[in-house]
Amino acid sequence: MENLYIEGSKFTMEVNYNAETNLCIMKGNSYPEDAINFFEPLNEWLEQYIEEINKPLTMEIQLYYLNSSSSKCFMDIFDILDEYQEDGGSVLVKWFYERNDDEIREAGEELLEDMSFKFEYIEIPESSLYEA
Amino acid sequence: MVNNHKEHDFYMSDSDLFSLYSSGGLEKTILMFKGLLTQDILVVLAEMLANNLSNDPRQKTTKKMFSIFVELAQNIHRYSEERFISEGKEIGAGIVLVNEFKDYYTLISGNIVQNNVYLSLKEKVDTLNKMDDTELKSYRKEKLKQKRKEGDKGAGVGLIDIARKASKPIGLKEKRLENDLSFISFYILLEKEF
Repeated sequence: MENLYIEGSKFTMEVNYNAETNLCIMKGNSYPEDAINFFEPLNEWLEQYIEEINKPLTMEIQLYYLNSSSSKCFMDIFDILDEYQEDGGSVLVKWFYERNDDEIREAGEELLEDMSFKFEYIEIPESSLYEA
Repeated sequence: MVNNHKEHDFYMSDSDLFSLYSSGGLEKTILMFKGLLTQDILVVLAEMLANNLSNDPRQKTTKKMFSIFVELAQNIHRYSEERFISEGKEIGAGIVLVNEFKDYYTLISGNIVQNNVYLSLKEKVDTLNKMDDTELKSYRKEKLKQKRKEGDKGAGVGLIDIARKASKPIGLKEKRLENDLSFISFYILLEKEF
């Protein structure tokens, strides 16, 4: 299956989903006007990966800011991964946050707390904010 | 009609422009914008706001401000009744105003909606204003897990996020207009954290 790459912008994440390395990376800001539309190909890719590749999958997420509708879309992604884990798949989510960025850390905790797959929070040094 | 346009209609008197200029009080106005809230404009305004506040050493207030601003502006973008086509997309218009006081900031947004939209917003805001932090947190979770309503681009979570970040209850006012329309305004206060 094909890999998925989306270039980042000031308000949308850089997306790099790789079916050969089984690694999905999302990085940057996420506050598009239409989050559902932005996340749709990401969800479709994951569904296809689960069906066709079905290997242990790692997802790395490093955000600076996400709006409320993007939060909801992350919940959709994690629900897909949760189901995959429960059906015998293996998932690890790494949620990165900058030192002192309680907002992003808490956003991750609230999304991930009930999930059945493995997840870790990883602190990284502060960078210049909002410049993805 | 055009011929009847008199000079004094166009040339505002000093006091008219001054009343507009000082309409948010004579506090330090960080940002004032009225018009179409396209995504491009929203990004520029949000970044400008963040840069203006970047002397905040812990970035905590800046992050909250950025977040509240984006939610307010995207509400206008999505739900304002005053809509225009920009680059093939229908975009809402409205007004946003951010002022700085000694110990806090205020964020005010305004736009036109149908009366019934105001009434349902009022109900939501009243509910949120009665909740404490723990209740807001679990209510947000519930909304994140809930299925979306058909065609709704928002998550129903924006107002909850505003309520959680704001330092005082959310203010919501209404001015009735003709044809079942209302001008509504949100008032958010954000204390400076150090």
